[in-house]
Order: sequence, then structure tokens, then C-alpha cells
Amino acid sequence: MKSKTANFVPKTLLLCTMVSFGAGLGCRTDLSSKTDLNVDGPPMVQQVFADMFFERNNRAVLDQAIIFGSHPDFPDPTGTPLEIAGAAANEIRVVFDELVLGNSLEAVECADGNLTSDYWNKEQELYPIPLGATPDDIADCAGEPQALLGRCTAVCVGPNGVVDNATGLPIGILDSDPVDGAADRLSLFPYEKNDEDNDLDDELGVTITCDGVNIPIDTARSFWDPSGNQQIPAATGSSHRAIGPVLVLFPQNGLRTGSTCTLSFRDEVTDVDGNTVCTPRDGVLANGCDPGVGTSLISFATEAFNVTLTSVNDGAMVDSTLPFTFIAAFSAPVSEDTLPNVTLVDAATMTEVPFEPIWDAGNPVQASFEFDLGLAPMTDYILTIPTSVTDPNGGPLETETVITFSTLPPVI
Amino acid sequence: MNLKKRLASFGVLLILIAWLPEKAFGQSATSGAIVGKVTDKSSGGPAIGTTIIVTSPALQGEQTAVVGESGRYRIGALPPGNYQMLFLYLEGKFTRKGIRVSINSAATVNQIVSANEESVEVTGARTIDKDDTTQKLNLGREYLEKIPIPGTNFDGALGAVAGTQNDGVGVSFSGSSSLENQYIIDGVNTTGLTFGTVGTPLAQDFIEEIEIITGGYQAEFGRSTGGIANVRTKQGSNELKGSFITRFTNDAMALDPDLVPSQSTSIDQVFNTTVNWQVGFDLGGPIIKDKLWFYVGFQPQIIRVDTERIFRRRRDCQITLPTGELSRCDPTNDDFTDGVADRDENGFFIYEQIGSETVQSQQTLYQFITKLNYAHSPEHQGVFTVSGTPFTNEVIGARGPQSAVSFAQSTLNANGALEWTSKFNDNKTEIQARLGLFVQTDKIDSLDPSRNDEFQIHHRFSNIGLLLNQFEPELRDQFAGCLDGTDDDPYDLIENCPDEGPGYFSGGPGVRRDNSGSRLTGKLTGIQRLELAGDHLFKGGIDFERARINNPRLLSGDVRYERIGGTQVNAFRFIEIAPPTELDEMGQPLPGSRFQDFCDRVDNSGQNSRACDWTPDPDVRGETFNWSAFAQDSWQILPNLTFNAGLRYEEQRLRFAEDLRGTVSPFTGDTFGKNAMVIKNMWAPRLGLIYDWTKEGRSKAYVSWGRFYESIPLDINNRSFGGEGFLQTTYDVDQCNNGAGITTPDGFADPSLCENPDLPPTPAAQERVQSSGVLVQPGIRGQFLDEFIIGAEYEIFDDTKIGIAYENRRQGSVIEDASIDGSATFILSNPGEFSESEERQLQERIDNLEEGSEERLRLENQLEQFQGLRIFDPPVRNWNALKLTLNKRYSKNFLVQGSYQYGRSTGNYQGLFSSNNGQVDPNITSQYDLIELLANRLGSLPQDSPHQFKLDGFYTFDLESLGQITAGASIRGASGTPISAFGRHSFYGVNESFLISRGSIGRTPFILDADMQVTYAKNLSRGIRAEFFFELFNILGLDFLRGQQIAAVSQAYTFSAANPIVGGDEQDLIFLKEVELNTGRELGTPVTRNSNFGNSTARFVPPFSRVGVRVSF
Repeated sequence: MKSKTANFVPKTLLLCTMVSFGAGLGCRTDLSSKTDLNVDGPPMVQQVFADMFFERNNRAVLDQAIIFGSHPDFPDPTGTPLEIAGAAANEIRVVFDELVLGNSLEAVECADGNLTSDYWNKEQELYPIPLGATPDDIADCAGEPQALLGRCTAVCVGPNGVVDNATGLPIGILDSDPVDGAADRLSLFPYEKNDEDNDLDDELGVTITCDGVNIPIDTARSFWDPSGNQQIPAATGSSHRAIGPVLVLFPQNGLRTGSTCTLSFRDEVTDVDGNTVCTPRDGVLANGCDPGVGTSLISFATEAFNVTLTSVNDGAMVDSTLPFTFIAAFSAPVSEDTLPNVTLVDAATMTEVPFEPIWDAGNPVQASFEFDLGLAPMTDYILTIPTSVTDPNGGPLETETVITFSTLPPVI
Repeated sequence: MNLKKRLASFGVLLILIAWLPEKAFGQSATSGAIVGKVTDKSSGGPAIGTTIIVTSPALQGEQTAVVGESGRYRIGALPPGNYQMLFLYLEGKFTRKGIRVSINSAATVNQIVSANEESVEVTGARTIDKDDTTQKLNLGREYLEKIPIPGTNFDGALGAVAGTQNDGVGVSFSGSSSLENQYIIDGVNTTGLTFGTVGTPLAQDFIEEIEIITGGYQAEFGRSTGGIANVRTKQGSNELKGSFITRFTNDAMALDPDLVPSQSTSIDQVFNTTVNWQVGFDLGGPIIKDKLWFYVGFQPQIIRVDTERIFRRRRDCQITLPTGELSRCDPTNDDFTDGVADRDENGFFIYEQIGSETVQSQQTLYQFITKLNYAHSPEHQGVFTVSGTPFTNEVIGARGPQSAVSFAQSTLNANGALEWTSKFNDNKTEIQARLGLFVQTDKIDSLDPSRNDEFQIHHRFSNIGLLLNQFEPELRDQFAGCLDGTDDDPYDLIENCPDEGPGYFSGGPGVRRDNSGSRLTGKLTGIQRLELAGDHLFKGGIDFERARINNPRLLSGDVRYERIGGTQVNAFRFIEIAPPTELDEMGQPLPGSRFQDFCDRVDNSGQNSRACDWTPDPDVRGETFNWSAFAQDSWQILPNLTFNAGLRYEEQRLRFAEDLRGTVSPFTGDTFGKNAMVIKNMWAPRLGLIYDWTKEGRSKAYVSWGRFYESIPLDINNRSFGGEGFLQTTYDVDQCNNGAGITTPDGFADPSLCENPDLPPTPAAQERVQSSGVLVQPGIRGQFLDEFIIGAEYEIFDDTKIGIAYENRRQGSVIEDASIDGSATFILSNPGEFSESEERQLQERIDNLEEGSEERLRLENQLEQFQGLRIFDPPVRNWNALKLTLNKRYSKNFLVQGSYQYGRSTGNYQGLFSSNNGQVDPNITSQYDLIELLANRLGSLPQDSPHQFKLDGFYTFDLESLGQITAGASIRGASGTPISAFGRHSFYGVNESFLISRGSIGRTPFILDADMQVTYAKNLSRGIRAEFFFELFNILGLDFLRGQQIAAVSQAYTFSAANPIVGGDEQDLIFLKEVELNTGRELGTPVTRNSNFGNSTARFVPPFSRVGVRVSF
């Protein structure tokens, strides 16, 4: 294991300054770069939003991401928090003003340890990378299995610091696509909630909470990228995408609608000096963070959950001879589980009409309701989409939608 | 002040200097001087009236001087050589012998005389030049002949001085890049025109002396922020003298090199030098004794190389055993042939050789020189010199038939100098005038001239076996093992010879070259000595340089095709920016009308560009005019205290290519005039103070400060002021030939069918124009550095001195191209600077224009661009070095010179080329092209090698009648250089992103090596002397000593596109994510690591030997 390399300090620049100053000359002493990050103090995340990117050649891309960060090119951080549509909030970018330790956020996918010909077919496991490990340490445990025997030490360690498995051989890193001496995949690191049971759960280094509900994060798509800078204006070519370092989060099913959400980080997520992540007072970086506040100052609202479109409007006349299908579009993904709460009743008898809800994960903001038996002619119906229909995170519809419609006489 | 006024001012200064009375002699770039004091033994005072007569085989006639009231004298304009002095004082007569005069140096000879004595002393001059702060080393004939030097041209000896090292392009001096040097031969600037490399690599055998200047020099020298190599060639004399020399080596006289692990391919090549032979002569003598001398030399060098072209295939005969070890290779075992190509422990594919062919090639270098020395009288003398190095070369490639990958190259580098020196007014005034011409040509064509007009196709990601079968069927016996599915294929589960990018070439040679250029120089120098509160040595001068290049942009067949896999064809063409030919209703150029390819310009047919793609490409004629003037004074306040002050002024005028002048830039709307960039106000002061505490010329403590400006090579004229452009047209192969596709049954049809005018046109999937607008920052300043030196020298014995010096060089402004709009427009600028006064002036111009006018909009856009320059990081390059030196000049049968240096080079600016991406484009490297490329640049620069020591020496054993044996050696030790981690920028290419801080990965290993030479010499009859020498180089590369040493390691951490991790370290690299090519969008996947990262990519050549004979008379 190699020691962690300290940030480069060009000592000769100091020498230059001393000697030349003595000679009345002086060197260029301002060695800062416009690309530098703010390494003083704790890593900070500022609450601002931007929800559209412009790529090269001013081609607009409707990414509909939410950005948290301190870059001056972002919208005014002191403005009113933006309400966002849950359906659009498919990407959350948390831009830090300095690096945090990557291994507090991501872990490496390791092989199962048996250096046999079926090495690549083993089920992979996720282990954190020890602090101070270098790419060379990774390379020593990657590649062809035979390379591991003499060189691999202590990169893939299990929950209790176990280096090897029952075979007594080192644990290798998944590296087959391609074989390049680097891990094929990294993933957001699930911390143990309870150290006693070694039970890995889904509590990541970062948590999104909306009205007290923990929002599931898609760990297969989400990632930590230490690259990028705070150049002003944002670097050319890649626009806001080059602003970093960044933690990119993809909520599993969007955010909870009609809620107030916040971000929080575990204490293990720190910069190299051990400082935890926090949010500056009043949204101004220069104010610094107040002790103990963490990122609790981050608070943003999400757009209310609403029905945005229906295939039948209130007071409409519909044909009764065909199998009847009702389609509703929502402002955010709708929970499939709550769709049976929709009702259609004969207005005269208040008899419920049976139907089958149809929902496609590929288009989660829309639902269909098929009434296979059709409707009676010249009859009034009441269709109700109650507030118990929710988004996948339990966010209810803001208002109940009631549609009254009638059927036409039969066609002779 | 305009140019004429400035010239007039300096003219007045020169006249004043020339008019001043008193004695006037000095040293110059081509000559030296003798200075000293003559003391009356009896009185201890100055021996007034002493006549000094100086003679030398190098001198036409004799030079005389009469000692004045101060007792001090100075005799200048002396060619380098060994001198004898005669002091005549009343009845006294004193002779001094063995006085070595070096170029640009003053040898101190103090003499005590009496009125009635005679003596003969063989005591040389002092080793210390007591009035000068120049950091330099002079290498004379003894060094060049007796010390082993691997390279036999003058640049091979430049590494002898402390503070020099090879930076991959040439020899760098004092922390600067090698392209910042200046190379002077016989007073003429022979620095390479386009890039600033070595121009005429003249043979050491024709050279009398090399002066290597690393810093601290006076205002006479300029146009360099690196070092100066000042070469003085041999000349004739009153005696007929000459020599014959021959040297020989080849690979049989060398050890086999260690292989560098790498990702092999199915076609590779190995070079074997069978002959490396030099043979030549030089001859000099009188045509008219003491009046007209001649000197001629001619030396061909022939290098013959056998290039073995090797065909290889991957194999599939091993598996990993349950023990974790590799099995044996057994292609007959079905368990071992698992359909996965075998790899070695580095992750590289294992290849096996299946055949080969050998191609012979030859390089021929002709060295020549001719010189005439004419003395109209001892006071009026002239020299005419012409030297050159014509070179022909056959470059053998492997990845295709000879017509496509092998080239015939011919170059010429030559220089001529006409110099006249006159002394007037009883030798009190000296005027020197010099006219010089330096020419360069460089021509590259196909080795098969009949294919020069044929376009080239680059096949990538295809099957090498099938390509060989298509284009070189006559070699089938050699490559048959590459073909899959044949009876001879033992590995039928894998593709034997896939290509993973390097590809295979067919057709013509592709890029051709027919470059030429010249530099005409003139210089007028005046020297005057004056006694006024001490001694003054005034020197002033003015010079000019007019450099031109003519670089056609040539592609064989005017187009180059690239086939990627099976579906994509790219066609590349040179295009030239031209005014918009079609405008829309808003007056904006229509797409496609902003560029006009050369054929449209030539035939003006008005047809679409494809109809005239085959017209030859035109020339790009670039020009730069430089002029400078200087004035300097060396004021000897006290006999042991000298103050040097000088001021130099330079201007550079870089001009647009001739064809562009008068046209309008489609990017900027500017009209191209004559001057593209004029750099004025380059004032370069130089100051120095020297104190001799021994008061005998045996010591000096000194301090100096100076500013030095760069002279911009002409590459920038070609690329930025020459309308450079490239058009890439991409086709879908399946859509070519009217949708029928172009793939024939053999799989490799002619991709030009996609553009065949006889077939229905194929719609281009994409057209990309690679060209940019160029603006020049108003008020742009010259690129400069400031240098501070403090040091001391002490002559511990006769002919031996030691020295200590601290040097600091810090970079001031640099000139680089920068872009704030994603490389659509480049601004030639001082990155990080845009003065408020220039901003105000431009704003005032804008305010005076009509609101909304086209001109106003154009200038507003430009103002915004110039303001954007401030966001770039200012350049930083700091060089700090402590040097210890030892010099024992040749006397008493031996010579020793050595140095130790602790030096650091840190910053964010390497110099005129970038070693990270190998880009040699002075002042237009990619460093400042995009803002994000600046991240992590600060750190140890590539030339940062803290510890360096050098030790050279030889000793001659006199065996009397049996002859002499001389043993010489050269030892070099140096710290390794910093290692960085590079990544690919999303659209700028590989090795452009500094992923973590520059140099933070570590260093390459310490380098230690030694060379040796043994010479046996015997005097034969009639003044003929024969020498036989044996040289052995890189002795410590012998396996039993240290083995072949690592010269470089791979710093490409990944070839994936990735952004820098600002302030990150190695651990952060683990978490680095890839970004999408062209868009920069994050992909969220870890970057693919270069398997070869950190491994050696180059090693120093293995030990080799050379033998030679020199016969002289």
C-alpha cells in the first residue's frame, strides 16, 4: 500500500521568492489558477438551481437536471427556491467547491476471490477502497488473475477488513471490460447502518429526503466524478458539465412531489482534511458554514402532483359502442400501485364499473384505464382520480380530479 | 516612434560611438581579444610606450598596440587560436607564448617589463575573463578531438556545459526549452526557420571553436530566451595544412537493445544499421601569404540500414491454471484454445512471428565548407564563408506497401557569411559589417515517385491479413499465417491479425513536403574605447533579419481517405479560408460558402468543390522582418572593478501569407494586410558588476541582471497567418455508389468511389471544417524572461579555475494562441493580460461608430474576446540553479572540465513546445487554446532534473618515439524527470488533460552514464601525424553494470476523454469518470487505464563503439 500523496507544493518557488526578494527582484508569487478549487475550510455545497444545459454550438439539451453548487454561472443562489416538476427531476448534480474523498462515496466491484479459470463468472461484490490506495494498487489486483498472486494486497477488503476468502488467496478487482488495470465499475457505497450485523443496506454517503421520506437513488447510474473545475465562465465545449467536482444522483423514481426536500451527507464524507460537507450561511460562500449545520440549510420544494391531461373532459359525450379506454397524464411519475384507486361509477346508480389500469415503466407519467365491457349508452358516468393516487414516493395528487361525462345513443 | 525614427536614433548613437577618440578593440561573436596591463619592473608603474606585437598562425600579418598612460592595453578582432606576444620596452624584450584566444572572450595577459632585460615565458593567459558575466563554455579543437562525443555535428557537443540537458527536441539551456536557443555559425543566425531547431548541423571536424552561452550575456546578443551556440569554423593560414578523417560504426559494434514492453501489432519493424561511415578531408593554406587564405572541407556520411518488416499474429494456446499460473502454450489442446487471445503479465497481447521481409535503405549526409580570408591590410580584413549539410534519406515504413509508407527525403541547410572588419584612426576605431544568408529546403515524396499523385487510404480497425492479401499479394508466403480460417490457422477461435487503430496504408504517400525558406541577415557593429573616470569599452550596433518560408500544403492526390471499420469513410483535404462567396439576406455567410478549396481559387470555374479537387495545392509564403539595435558599455571603474551596462531594442514584424493579403477573414471580418503581428518596444536592458578581489585577474565576483526576448519562428506564419484549414467529409460506405455501397467481394474497394463524379453523388454524413479565425491582441508584448545571476570564479592554479553561481530565470509574458469561444477564434496574445489602456482605446473606437453597424458589431465582439484573455492563468516558469564548475584548460597534456548543478524548473509553462502531447508549434501550442486545458499545469516542468553532474577530461601519455596515447572520458549523471498523468480532452485529443498536478506521480530513474575514447597518435615523416581512435559510448548501459537505462515512461494514464481533477492526487484517479468525445458529457463510467502507464517507453541506446583514423599535416 502506498502512502497518500500530498498535494504538490513547489518548494523551489519558495526558494525563488526568498532569494529573488533578497535581490530586490521577486518572482511571480501569485501561483493561483482560475481553475483552482476552494481548498480552504470544509467542502461546501450551495443551494442553487439550473435546469437546462446548453451544449456546444448552443444546441439546447433538455436534461432537466437540478444543480446544487457554487459556480457563479449558476442562477442567483439567493433567489427563491425553484419548484420543480418531479417528472423532470431525473438528475441531481451536486457540485462541490473542493474535492471530497472518493472512497467515502464510491466502492469498487471486486471479484469473488477464487483465482480459477471461472474467475470472471463469479458473482461480484462491492467493497470500499482503503484510504491511500493508488491506481497502481488497483492495477496490482486487476487484470489477469495470475497477476494477483504476487502483487495484490489489501485493496478489496470486506466489511471486517477481511483480505481474502476461504481459499486464502487475494481478492481481485473486476477488470475484464477491458483488461486495463482499472476497475470496470465503481458504485455509490452503501454504508452499514448497524455495525453489529454487517448488514449492508442502502444508506449511501448522500441522502435525499422529501417530507421525511428517503428517496431511493439509482446506484447503477449515479456516480462521483472528482474531475472538473470552477472556471469562470464555465469551460468551453462541455458547458456546465465541466463544472466539478460533482456527485451525480439519479433518483430511482424521481422525487416526491409537493414536498420539501433536502440533501444530507454522512459524516464520513469529508475532504482530505476531514472536514464534513456543509452549506454556507445565507447561500454565500464567503460566509462559510456554521458549526453543526451541515447541509440542513438546503431546502427545496418540488412541484405539486397533478393530472395534466385526460382523454375525456368533464361534460364530454363519448361513444358507448366501443371498448372504452381512459387515459390520464400526470405531472410526475405515478405509482402503479395507486392506480386502482381511480373509480368510475354510474351516476344514477353509483355502481362502480370494473376496469384494468395499464402502466408502462417506460412512460411512467401516463396511465390508461381499459373498460373491457364497454359503457352503457345514454348514461351519465363520474370518473374520479382521488388524491390517494400518488407518485412512487407517496406524494399525493394536489387535488382530486372528477370528470362527469355521458354516453351517446347506440348507433343503429 | 516609428521605425525610421528609431533607426535614426540608434544611427546617431553609433556615429557618436565611432567618433569617440582613444583606442578601440573588442571581441565579438567571431573573434576574441587580449587585454592586460604592462608594468615597469623598476618603478612598479605603467610601462608607457611599450609596443606589443601579436602573432599567430590564425592571424594574417601581425597586430600591434602601444601601451598608454594607464599601462592597460586591449587588442581585439583576433581569430580564435594560439597566440604569441612580444613586448618591446626600451631595450627590453619579453615574449609570451601559449596564449589561447577564444571567440567572444578577452584573454588577460599582464606583463612586467624592464628596460634592459629579455625573457621568454610559456605562460598562458588567465583563465578568467575578468570583465564579463557571461555564463559559457568554450570548446576548442582539443576537446572536440579527444573527448568522446556520440554526435559528430556541433550540436552533439552542446551538452558539455552545466545547465544543459536534452529535452526531447534538442538541447535546452537553463530551464528554457530547446526551441528558444539561437545557433550562430560564423556570425550568422542559422536557427531553424520554422521551429527554431538546429539549422545547419555542421561537422565538428570543420570547427575551430564552439562557444556555448547559457546566460549572463551582453546586449550584443539577443533573440533568445534559451542559450546560444556560437560556432566559429576553421580557416586557412600561411602554411598549407589539412587532414583526412574517417569514422566507422554499425550495429555489429553495439549491444542489442532491451525491448520496451508495448502493445504489439501484426506488422512491426526492426532496424539494423549495417554501415555508418564518415570520410572526409579539410585543407587550408595561403593563396597569397598574409593576404589571401583558403579553407575547404568535404565530408560525406553514409548510413545503410536493413529494415526488417515482421509479420505476426496473436495466439490462443494458454489458459490460467487453478493455481493462478499460466499454462504452457499448446494449440493442440482444446482446453487451451479457449477463444480468448493470450496476454502477457503486462496485459499486452502475445504475438508470434510468422514471416518477414528485409528492405535496405540509405541516408547520405554531405558536409561541406569553403572559406576565404582576405587581408587588404592588417587593419582591413574580410572573410567569406559558405557551409552546408545537404542530406538525403530513405524512410522505410512498415504498415503498407512501400509507395504509401516509405519516403524519399532530401534536405539542404546551408549558410553563407561575408564579414568585413576595418580599423581606423590608428586602430582606435573598429567597425565590423556582416551579411549572412541561411537557406533551408525540405522535400518529401514517395519512395516510388510514380505514386506521388495518388491519394492515400488509411485502413483502420480492419483485418491486417486481408489487407496484406489485397495490396501485397506477392508477400503471401510471409503473412499467410495472418489469414483466418485457412488450413494453416491453428487458432481458429480468434481473429489472428486484427487492427486496433494503427491501421494499414495503401495508395500514395499522403502528406508530402516541398518546403523552402531563407533568412537574410545584416549587422553593423562599432567598437570604441574611451578613458573617462576609468576605462570604457563602448559597443553599439544594428542588425536586421528577413526570414521567409514557402511551405506548400500537399496531399498526394490532393485528398487522403480514412476507412474506419467497415462502414465509415473520411476524406481529408487542405482548404484555405477565403472571403464568403454567398451571403444570406442577413448578410451572413451561408453554410459551405465560408471556405473555398484551392482548386476553386485556381480555376475559378464556379463549379462545386468536388469537380476540382485534384488541382495541386498552392504555396504558403510567410515572412518575418526583425530588426534590433544595441548599445553597451563596459566601464572599468577601477582596475579590479567593472560595471557593464547595455540596452537592446528589438522589433518583430510577422506578415500574412502573400496570397491572403487584401482579402477578408470570414471569421473575424478583418482585412488581411501586410503585417499580421507587429511586436514593438522590446527593450532589453543588461547590467553586470564584476569585482576581482585578487587584483591580478585571478578571480571575479559578479552579479548580472538582464531581460531577454524571444524571436518567434515562422511556424506561426504558416499556421496562424497562412489561412490554414482542413476539411473532413464523412460518408457512410453503404450509401456510396448510389446506395449500392463500395464494398467489393474482396472487401476493400476504393473509397474514392464515394466521391467519383461519374457516379451519382453520395450525401455526406458530416462535413467538418477545421479552421479558425485569428485575432492579434492589441498592444501585444514580446515574449521575455528576466535573468539574475550571482557568482564567483577563482583561478586556483595556472590554467585551472573553479566557479560557483546561482541563477534565477523567471518567465515574463508569453505569446500563445488562446480561445474563449471553443477554438472558433484564436487570439494571439499574452495570456492573462489585456491592458486597460488598450481596452479604453478600443472602446472609444466602438463608441464612435454607428450603433448597430457591422463594423461596431465586429469590434464589440473582438473587445469581448480580448477581455476574455484575462481569465487565463499568467505564465509561470521559474528556473533556480546553483552551479559549481571546474575548468582546467588544455595544458601540460591534460584537460578537465566538470560541473555539478542543483537546479529546479517549476511553473505552468514549459516553453515553445509541449512534451505532454509532443506538439512542436512555437507560440501556438495547445496549452492556452481552451481554458480547461490550464488546470493542474503548475508543478515540476518536464526539464526539472534537480541534480546533474558532468565530468569530461583527457590525458596524453607521451611515449616519445613510440607516439602518444590519449585517454579521454565523459561522465554524465542526472536526476530523473517528473512524471505526470495525462488524459484525453474530449475534442482536443490525447495527452491534453493534466489529470492531476503536473509532475506529481514521481520521477524517472536517475541516469548515470559514461563514454570513453582512446587515441593513439604518431608523428610520421614530413610533418604528417596519424591518429587512430576507438570510442565506446554508454558504458554504464552494459548489463553487468547498470543495464540499459530508462529515458522515458508512459505518462498517458488513459486514452479515454476525461477532465482534470483539480488539486487531486493519485487516489482520486481511481474515481475519475470518462466524458463523451466531442460533447464532454459525463458518461459515469471509470476511465479505461492505459496498460502501459508508468512503463518505460524509451531507453537510452545500448553501448556501442566507433573507430576512426585522422591523418593531418
